[in-house]
Amino acid sequence: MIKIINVTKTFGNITALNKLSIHIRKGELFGLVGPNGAGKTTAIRIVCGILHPTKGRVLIDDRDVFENIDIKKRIGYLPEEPNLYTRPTAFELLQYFGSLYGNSSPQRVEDLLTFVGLHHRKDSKVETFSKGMRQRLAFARALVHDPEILILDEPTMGLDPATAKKVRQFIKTFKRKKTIILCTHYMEEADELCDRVGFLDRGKIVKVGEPLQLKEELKQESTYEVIVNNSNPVLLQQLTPHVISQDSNRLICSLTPEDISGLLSEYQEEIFSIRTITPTLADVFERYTHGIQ
Amino acid sequence: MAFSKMILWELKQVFKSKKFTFSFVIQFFVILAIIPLFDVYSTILEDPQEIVLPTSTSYVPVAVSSSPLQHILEKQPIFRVYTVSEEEGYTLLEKHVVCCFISGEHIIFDTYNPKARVAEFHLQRLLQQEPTIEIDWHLNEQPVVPQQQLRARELALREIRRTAEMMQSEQINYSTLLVLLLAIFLASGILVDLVVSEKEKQTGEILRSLPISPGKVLLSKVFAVVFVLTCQITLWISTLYVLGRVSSLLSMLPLFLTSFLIISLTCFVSVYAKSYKEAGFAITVSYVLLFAFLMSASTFYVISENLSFLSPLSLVIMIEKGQHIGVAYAALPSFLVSCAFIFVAVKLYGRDEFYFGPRPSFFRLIPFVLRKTLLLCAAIFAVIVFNSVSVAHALSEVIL
Repeated sequence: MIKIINVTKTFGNITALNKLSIHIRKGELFGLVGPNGAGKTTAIRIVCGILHPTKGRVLIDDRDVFENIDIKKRIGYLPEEPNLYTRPTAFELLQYFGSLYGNSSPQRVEDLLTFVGLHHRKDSKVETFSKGMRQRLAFARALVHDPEILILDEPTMGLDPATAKKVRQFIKTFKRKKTIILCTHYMEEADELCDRVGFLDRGKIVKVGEPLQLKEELKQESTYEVIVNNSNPVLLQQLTPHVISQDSNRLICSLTPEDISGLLSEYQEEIFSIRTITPTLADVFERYTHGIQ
Repeated sequence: MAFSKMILWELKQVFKSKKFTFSFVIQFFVILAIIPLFDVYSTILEDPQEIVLPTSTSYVPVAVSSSPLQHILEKQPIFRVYTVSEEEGYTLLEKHVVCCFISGEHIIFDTYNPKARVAEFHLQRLLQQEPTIEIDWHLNEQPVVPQQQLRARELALREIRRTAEMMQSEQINYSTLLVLLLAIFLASGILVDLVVSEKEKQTGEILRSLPISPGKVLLSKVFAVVFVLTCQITLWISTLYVLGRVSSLLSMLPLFLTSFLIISLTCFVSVYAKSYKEAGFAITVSYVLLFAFLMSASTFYVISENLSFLSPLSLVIMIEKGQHIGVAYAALPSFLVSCAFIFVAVKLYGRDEFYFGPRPSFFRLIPFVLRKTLLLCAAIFAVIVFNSVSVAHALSEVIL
């Protein structure tokens, strides 16, 4: 359904995306995951036709987004910040954006406001809304024309847990009904919601797969949590090639049984504990990217 | 369809804005207050004992002593006629209180008073209409002017005569139209708000995701502002027309052209600016340069008409003189330049770097602008070169 083909985007001397290629299937919820500055927002802005790629193409059902402006009618976009006009009321705002897409039915607006739990505030000005309410309203705005494709950029960023949960529930409602691209750096969110995730690092896709499959792959590599005396540089140096991630003296390593027996015999005093772990998507993320920077 | 909805939305937002309502009311009172203030000011200054300014009717003081011209002069609003004895007439002339003294069939001009040239111009016109009256013309040449200054003085007086021609009493009322620039500045402020706020509040990102080209988004804002401005100018001009300050509704044309030029420049600057702060500074500088250009181009009318067409401000004069072909010719450059500004602004607004950055420097932008408006620039350049030869000739005459 959505094909991002060799997309490169540069801002002056900075390359935000470097020959990015992704194929997203119809009805799929695709998670675009990556550290800050990886190029997630740039990528989805290009898919929405907001930014022009320096090179490459974006096709939706084999039609170029930048050559067919009408394709944008099929996309609903929720930016990272709600970015709403604040003077009008919630109802006026949704009706206006609906009218721009040729769908300004008051009933549709009422239904959407009910869906996001803002019907009781439909005649209130947007400027009186809290951040969570604005985010829900922005979600309704993205849905106002009932798009086939929903592109969500960090939809739960900066929200309290209860509101974030609500937003995740909204997203779940549309799973399988719409093609969704979810851009996030919350691994639990991606794990919970996405059919497939693509790890983006420094403008390139480094790994794509289903969350479960990716975790299994890491598990097969025999992942261990090793807690060591990190004052021993020789031990750390020996472990370095196996390390997936490190948090102080807690190392997540990919080791074979031979590696473990060798380490234990040599550094019995320096290794405080060693145990197998079930990898999370965060571990997979760290395995394939440079971690959250 | 979506385009018209956007225009309506922008209009609705403008009219709902408290900033707009406040500015509109303030502007209304300023415009209404400035008319009587302007009259009072000019009346005080035009007292014969004080400095005389050609700002309203009866600004050419003449002394008349038993002349067949008296009853004709009294009907002309431009003249302030003093009926005096012959002795009093000469005294007034020597004290430069009047610019000419008409005694019987003789007219004596005070050549040191620039208004004498205005009087001369109008008297000649009147005498052409009254062939039965024969008048002798004299110059009061005391004190004697050094020979070497005579040529320069003659040229200067010739230009004063042309200035006077421009400043006939009916036309001077148009100076009150300058207060309508307030409306243009208000409209420009609205446009900056509509364009730059989309960048500062990042609402423009949503607009770019809509199935409408960014150029149309920008044009919807420009159209909304032009509509607001048209309503304002029409309202103010109608008010001035009812109050008798404007005799020709055609005078709206130069005002519209000037406002379109200012709006288009504002549009360009707003698209280029990243923030309100930057837009405010850039617009101030642009307006200063634009007004310097408009005023200097319109003052060419005094020296030579050749370059005056560059400024819509010269149009008022042409309209009053009934030079309708000249008006059409003169309206074209500023209209084309305005269209060029809008065209370039629309092109820039569609480019990512003017919303998301990094924005090219102003000097790197110049080749882009020139490329996009190549034909127009060539046409304007050709006209300027063609006319500058005549202007140079006219200037050299004045200087020499």
